[in-house]
Amino acid sequence: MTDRELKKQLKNVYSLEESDSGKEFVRKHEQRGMRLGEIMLLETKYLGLRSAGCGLALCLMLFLIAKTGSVHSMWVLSSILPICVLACITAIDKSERYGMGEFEATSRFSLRMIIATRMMILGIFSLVIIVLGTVVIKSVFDIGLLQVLNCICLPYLLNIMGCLIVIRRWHARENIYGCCGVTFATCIIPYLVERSEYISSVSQGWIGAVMVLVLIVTIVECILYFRESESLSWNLY
Amino acid sequence: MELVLENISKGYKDKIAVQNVSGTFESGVIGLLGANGAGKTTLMRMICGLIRPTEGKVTFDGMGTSQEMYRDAIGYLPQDFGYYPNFTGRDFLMYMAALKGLDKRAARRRCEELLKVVNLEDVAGKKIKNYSGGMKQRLGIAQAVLNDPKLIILDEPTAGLDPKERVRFRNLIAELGKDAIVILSTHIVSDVEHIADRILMMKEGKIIFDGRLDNIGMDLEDFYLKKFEED
Repeated sequence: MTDRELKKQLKNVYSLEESDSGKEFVRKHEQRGMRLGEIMLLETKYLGLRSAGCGLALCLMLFLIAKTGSVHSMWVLSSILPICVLACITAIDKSERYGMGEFEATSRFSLRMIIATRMMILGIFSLVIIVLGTVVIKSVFDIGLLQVLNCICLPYLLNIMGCLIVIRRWHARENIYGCCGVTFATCIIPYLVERSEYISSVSQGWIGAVMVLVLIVTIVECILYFRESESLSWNLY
Repeated sequence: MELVLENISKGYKDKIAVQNVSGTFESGVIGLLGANGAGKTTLMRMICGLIRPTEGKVTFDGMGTSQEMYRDAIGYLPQDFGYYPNFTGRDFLMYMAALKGLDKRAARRRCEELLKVVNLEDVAGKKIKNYSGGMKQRLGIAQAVLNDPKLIILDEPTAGLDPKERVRFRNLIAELGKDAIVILSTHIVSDVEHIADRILMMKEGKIIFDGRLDNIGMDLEDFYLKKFEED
């Protein structure tokens, strides 16, 4: 018997059967898992040009404000920000609006994870816009930081809150019209604030408190939307 | 490979859609026949894990429907579905491949392969909104088998297909049924007559017949009508 044959015979005699836990371990690690970063890149790619276009438009507006240095243009920006929210917020709801929810819900990544990823991308986008807006306006105008934040964040948050309330209760393509209504309402708020002597006289602290309340409600709406995402329409009865 | 349904039921406020459905299924094609409103789609959605059953449970090789590995093993074609408007056929398959966790290179290869199988390779670069109903249906079938699933659930898959496409589709399903459990729901008897190994008939949320096609001993359509009249 050659060495090779002997080795083969010895292997047959002494080889142990793979345990179930070993097989399970190998099976788990053979499957390629997508990491959070990869899902975010995938969703960013598919969120479309709207979001990127909105970001660019906002940057241009901020630049124009810096150039003009007029206080009125600050309120113009405050009015326009909600429109940019409208373009982005409907991206969260697009799975159900276009009938892709069932496909996505039965993929490896649950629909909940896909929606959470979209919310995270849009949340990061919002944060960048708010920070950028705050920095630019603070550098141009000699006004308090709280006033700047109130001017930028309050209409923005009001619009997000209103749109989330609409899309959570109205699961149809037409919910976009509801969101348009909310956006229109929030766009005229800065105009009314600037015109109203009474509102202008209210201290920035109180306006800040309202903003915090709106932020809390927005967060709650996000959590509820996220929780209901896998229910879609069938489990809600 | 085994799919087990244990006394699953689904009730809504004013209706019980599925009542006490049980069964054990192995590889092959299972035809689920029933009229509109029988509960076929609700049952399919529970098997996919889209709907939580009010009672009972669904397991596949010991895995529950909420586990990621369960979703890895299934391919689903819903009855009503849509597409993101700017997607081309190829974009859609690549997007679904990414969501199913396929590697980019493997996804590209698999997508091209499936586009040939469903006869959409010439229009793969065109936007889905310009596709006919039959083309959209074929694309849906292609995405259901992207990840080489072991459990394939097809809800009214032949809707919108012309007779030639139906025959092609049946051949594809018969091929898939060799290595996977294929559950095909339809109200058209001829869709399952030649390819199903096992037939389930559903009426008002209940299974009224569960047996092998060979054991029926008569024309399936006649048997189907007879069974529905009896019950």
